[in-house]
Amino acid sequence: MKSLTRALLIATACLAPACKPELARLDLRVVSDPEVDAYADGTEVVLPAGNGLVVEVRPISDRARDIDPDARIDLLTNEPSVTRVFPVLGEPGHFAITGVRAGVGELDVLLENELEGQIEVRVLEP
Amino acid sequence: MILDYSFMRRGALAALILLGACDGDEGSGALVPHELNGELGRGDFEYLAIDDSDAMLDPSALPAAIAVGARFDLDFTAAVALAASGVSVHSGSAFVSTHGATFEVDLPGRFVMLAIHQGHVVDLAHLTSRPVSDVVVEDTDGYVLTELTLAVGEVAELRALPLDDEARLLAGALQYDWTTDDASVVEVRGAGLDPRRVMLTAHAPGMVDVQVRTGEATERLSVLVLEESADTMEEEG
Repeated sequence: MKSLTRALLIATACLAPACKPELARLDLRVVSDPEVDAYADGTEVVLPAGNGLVVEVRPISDRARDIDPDARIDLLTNEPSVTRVFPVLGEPGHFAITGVRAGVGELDVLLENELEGQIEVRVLEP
Repeated sequence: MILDYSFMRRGALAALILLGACDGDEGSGALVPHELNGELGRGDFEYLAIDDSDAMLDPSALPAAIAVGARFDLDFTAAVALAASGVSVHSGSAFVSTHGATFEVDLPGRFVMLAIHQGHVVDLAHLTSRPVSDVVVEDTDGYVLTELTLAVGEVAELRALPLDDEARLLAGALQYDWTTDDASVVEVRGAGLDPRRVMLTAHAPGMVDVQVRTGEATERLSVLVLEESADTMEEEG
């Protein structure tokens, strides 16, 4: 009986982490109308210097289902001289991204305050 | 694009209309909702000239283009309810720098301005900047001048207008430098607070060039000063 209980505990411990959906990719969509050639997907954003756009970010789990829709997402710029990012008021998961000057920068993606990945931002010469 | 912000724009307009209906001004029909110029439909950006040197003609609209090197201000009025007051406008790029309460255009091109409330973007707008390619001089009747004839003692008021390479008037406060080849023939004096405007006073017969310069653009006006006015000469003739 004791060994059975122990086995169950070990099995539960092994299964628990597997039940937590892991971030597999990001779904990134441009939801404003930048009126210029701009592009965004889960790995990169491309926009001309000077311009800004609003994207919606949705984390997708490795089990083809969304992670908790209420999970907090943050984007933080690594290169504010190239790109800046701001959350949009009242729209969780929406961010305004601007191209400060031509170059390449990265946005850290934080899910529930944990670094989950990065998005490359290529800011083109206007 | 699956989601766009048109629903927010419509919602904000509806909110404006509803607010207007509840403001105690029943039946006046005074509130005329207009299209909000914020790209997320959450409010209005308002262009503000910082001094009289701004050639912006229609302050009710955002300018088609602002001169590189010019200063301006931008205000934002939210059409949506905010938890606390205080929305400030910020530059989103290196195209525009901030100098105290005003902005200065540093580069030509299309640039984004952001309305920010407690670290969050409320709305955004794009403006365009262009270099001053030309400056023209006109009289108080709006006639563009390249030469001018004055009689001794006569005074003329002129003003300069900054244009882009397609002859479009540019907004923004700029510095203007007026000079004369010979102040003993034609004197140039400022005309009030607007550095675009000057008064020319003809002191002695002769021919001089009066120049106005803003940024890299210069206009030269040939001024001929006669001993007596053309009208007087006609009467005498």
